Amino acid sequence: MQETATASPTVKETLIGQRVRKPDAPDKATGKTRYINDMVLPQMLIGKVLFAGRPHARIVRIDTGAAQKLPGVHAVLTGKDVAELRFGFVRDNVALKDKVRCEHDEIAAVAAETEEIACRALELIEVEYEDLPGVFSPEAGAREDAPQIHDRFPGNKSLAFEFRHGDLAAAEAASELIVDNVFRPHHVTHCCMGTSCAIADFDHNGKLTIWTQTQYPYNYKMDLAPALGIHPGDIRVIQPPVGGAFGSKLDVYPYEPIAALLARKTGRPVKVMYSREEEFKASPTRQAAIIHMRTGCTRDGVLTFRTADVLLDNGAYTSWGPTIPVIMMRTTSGHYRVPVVDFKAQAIYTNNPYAGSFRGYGNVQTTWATAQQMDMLAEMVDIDPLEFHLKNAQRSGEVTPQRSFLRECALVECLETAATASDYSRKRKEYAALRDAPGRYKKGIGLASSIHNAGGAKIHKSDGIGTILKMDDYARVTVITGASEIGQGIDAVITLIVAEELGVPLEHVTLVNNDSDVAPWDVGVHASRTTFIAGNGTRRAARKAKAQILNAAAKMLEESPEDLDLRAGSVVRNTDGAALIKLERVLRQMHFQAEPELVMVTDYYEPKSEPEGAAHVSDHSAAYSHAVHIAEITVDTLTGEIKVDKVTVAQDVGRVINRMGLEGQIEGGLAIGLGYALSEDMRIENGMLKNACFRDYKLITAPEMPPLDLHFIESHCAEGPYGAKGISELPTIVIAPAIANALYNATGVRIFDPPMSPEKVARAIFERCAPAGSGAVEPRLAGTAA
Amino acid sequence: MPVMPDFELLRPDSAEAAVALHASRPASRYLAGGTDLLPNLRRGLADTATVIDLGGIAELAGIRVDADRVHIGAGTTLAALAAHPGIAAELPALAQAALAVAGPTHRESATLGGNLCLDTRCRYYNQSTPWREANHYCMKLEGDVCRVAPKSKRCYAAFSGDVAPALLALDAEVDIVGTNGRRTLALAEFYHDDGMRWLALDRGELLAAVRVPLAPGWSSGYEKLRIRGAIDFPLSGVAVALARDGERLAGLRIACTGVSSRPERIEGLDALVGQPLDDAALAQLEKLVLRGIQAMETTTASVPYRRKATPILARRLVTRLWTEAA
Repeated sequence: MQETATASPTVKETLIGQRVRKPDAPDKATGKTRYINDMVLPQMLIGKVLFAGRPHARIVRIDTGAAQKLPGVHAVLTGKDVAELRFGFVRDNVALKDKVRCEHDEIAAVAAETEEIACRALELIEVEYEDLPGVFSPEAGAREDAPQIHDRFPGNKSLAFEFRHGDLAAAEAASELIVDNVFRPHHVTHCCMGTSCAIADFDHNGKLTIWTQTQYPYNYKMDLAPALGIHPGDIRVIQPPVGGAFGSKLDVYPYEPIAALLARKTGRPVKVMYSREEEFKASPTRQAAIIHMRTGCTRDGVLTFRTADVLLDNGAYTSWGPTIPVIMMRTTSGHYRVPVVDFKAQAIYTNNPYAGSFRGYGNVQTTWATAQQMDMLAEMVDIDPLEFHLKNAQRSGEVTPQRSFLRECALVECLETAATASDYSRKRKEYAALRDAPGRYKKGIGLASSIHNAGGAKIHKSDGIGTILKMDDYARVTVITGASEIGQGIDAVITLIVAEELGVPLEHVTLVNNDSDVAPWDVGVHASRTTFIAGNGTRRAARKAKAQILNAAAKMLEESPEDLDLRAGSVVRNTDGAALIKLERVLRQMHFQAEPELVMVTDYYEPKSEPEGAAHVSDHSAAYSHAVHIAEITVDTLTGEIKVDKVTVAQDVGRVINRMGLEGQIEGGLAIGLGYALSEDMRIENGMLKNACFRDYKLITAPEMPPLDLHFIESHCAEGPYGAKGISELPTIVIAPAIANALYNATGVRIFDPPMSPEKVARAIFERCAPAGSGAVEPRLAGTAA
Repeated sequence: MPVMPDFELLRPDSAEAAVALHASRPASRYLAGGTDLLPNLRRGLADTATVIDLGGIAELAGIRVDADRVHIGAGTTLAALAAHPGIAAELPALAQAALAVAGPTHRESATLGGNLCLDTRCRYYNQSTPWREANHYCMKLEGDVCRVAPKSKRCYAAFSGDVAPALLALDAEVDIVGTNGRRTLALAEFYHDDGMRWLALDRGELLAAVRVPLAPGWSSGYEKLRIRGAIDFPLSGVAVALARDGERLAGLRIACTGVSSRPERIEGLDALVGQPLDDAALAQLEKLVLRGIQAMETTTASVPYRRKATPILARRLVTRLWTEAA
């Protein structure tokens, strides 16, 4: 930007790539933001839920008599009130249960004047259970004699997926080297700072207004309606500011219909808000899986095939979790040039908590496997992993076996940039040579990459967005958009794009995007799509408005519209940048003339992508992107502690739109990935969560955040807004295997089941140094198994 | 968090008044920084009708460095303790331990006295009422069985304060105020090896101050094993005070936390004094540490791991202090 100060006025200054602060930052930083958790409506009642507190049981008897009679209690509901109101993808869930299938099953719900009364009422509800034998792993659930969890799903079988490409037998025969491992990605949860919360209110025409944290307000209506037995059209969704979502609000969860059912029963607004412990137990998890992966290559280091046989722990009900194979297979088939692919996945019902979508959706788990196997194969081929990655990296224009079209592919540039910036190849050799030298602390460096959709994912009939843009007589712009803001920063991106196109100050742009009765349709915040899709939608709407304004101004000024532009609040002449008339004056003249004209435009943008389809062979995203992470770590080989010293990131972002937002998304995404890699772990024993609190669930804190060296690779995506691609999931996906590869470089051990906790690392190092029967004299860290 | 129960809140202005109020109310609790008590109240872990706020008592405040000792009011915040230049210079173990507690915002309100009196912790105890009900309660509250040692007659909840081992290694003593006047105890006598009755305080007694002797020629430090760098109780914590005379060990005290129901002073270290700190001595030291601790399944990391790691922490810290003292 240094040039702009001295450039001629004909060179337009651009906001694209600048650092723009989120419009809501001052309010959030000072505590002024009113989150849904803070909201109180007149006459509002508090709803509380009675959870089963056992993993699998028949409900013999429920007595709510005493609770009903407690003064201040307005309604008590149980499973018999909602028996037929099934919801969820496969209609296997109800708001209140008639049988217990997991620890957090909702058995009864109360609406009362205060939270204290509601809590007391829960204590008065008597439930008699008959405990049933449980199923606590997918392997156990798949056994023939396993207890059945749902009558409608024999064999505990939930969703299944398959994708095959090429001649596997021939590829195996041609493979001189094959790695074969079982990876066990675990349960973690989103840990939104704002706990789950919904406020529901029915009017007397039967229309429901629900204030909720959802990140997909339009399809949400379709998903919520069957849980209540009403028409989706009779639901209005209002989204107050959200204290985090990360995918956890991409489905309907029982607390939402419970709030609505209590509201309908009482005729008053009802708020249901989880405590932190309830949030840990009853909000969705990341999908746990058992991934049996094999990858082959030739002795020259050319990949020949990759297979993945995946068993998913479905948990008790089916939300987005068991659908992650849709993305898992894209990584299995598209992470580097893999000519032959064999992927299959089966989800098995268990009595464990169930998974929803979570930033990185299936790719966190798959890349944990693929990126470690790339590292293993490189060692077997005996070449620098960087060289191995480069040899198999796709180039622009290539198409994967599932027909993902990598139109602009910057994988090579990402690899080379990150490796050069971190001095990867030299350090890797040096650390590997010191691996077995004396010394307690070992340094390691690890490289990992991944591929992810970066322009939405057409898993619904449309992946589009509606936008309405209007301007008032003072050149203030309002954008009414379907794009939800859940903290990811689409508010700043939309503001920036409008300011860029219409030449108005950032603070003159207002966003309306929180009311389904007002804003037009959008598929929701997922699949790294919002900047890409809503960015395009906003730009198209702004350009329509601009054309309208310039046409009108051209008439007023007797100029040609092609010679005019909008800059700094004025209509200017393109050739010399001279300001000809104030924009707000043009707008007023347009408005208050004989044939009045108001600037209000609409747009529906549909990305050029193909529907996913049952065969999973389609160009399902409008863009794809890569990221490379190189992690540098120090390992205390005696205690097993891993300190991440530095992470170098090179990511294909297409083009930087809001640099500050981009940095924040990469830092935040990486923090989630670091917790996944090192410390976060839901301890579920026989279906019961043992660490439902931040004390024992180890979300990382500021000291664990390493210095980051960020490199944005701009591949200029033809379909993206200004060339941008979606960016927000890759940072979460790539970091864990980068650390795993660094751990191997430092110590020669591999961990297949995250997190790489000090205990697991110490045990693995001990076992490597003193294999069973080796007669090692110093069993210092032996037997640290949990 | 569950709902905070109702209680009466009193704010006396002297230690004697506080003790008298405590005696006159059956279910009363002292409140200092509140970082331990308030979450426990919300979880239903303390049957409390009256909370006596100690924040208005002048004598509990302040740090005074005399010629031969440091006097620290029990109401001193951990942040103030960690930031005090005299303590950082003379008693590094204490400053390091204070800085290892929780996070910056906790340390601004948590106090020295509160950390020394920290309730013992266990994965079966520090949970909400519904959680404990679903998991069949435990001996420390409402149950009959110690869930980490079902055959035992006592509770094995772990003491997890970071500051106590540092003060044990530094040979501190504590001033206590009760209805019958004041008394002084060596800090080592302030604790019992019992998860339910871990403090040697009589009913209503109040910890008023800590005194730490200044020992020229000694150095000290604190090491803490934890999963993350902030807001994490110790899987194991080790404090060491050490004196070196040329190539010989002139004095050594070690105390551990997180691995027993009380902070443990390690016994038998005198045998190493007067000897060089060679590999044999370090191996002996590791053995003594291992013998002195009793890690149980009170947290998310396993017993064998914490048993193996604690001597390693001790050895690492002793070696560092020994080298620095050369």
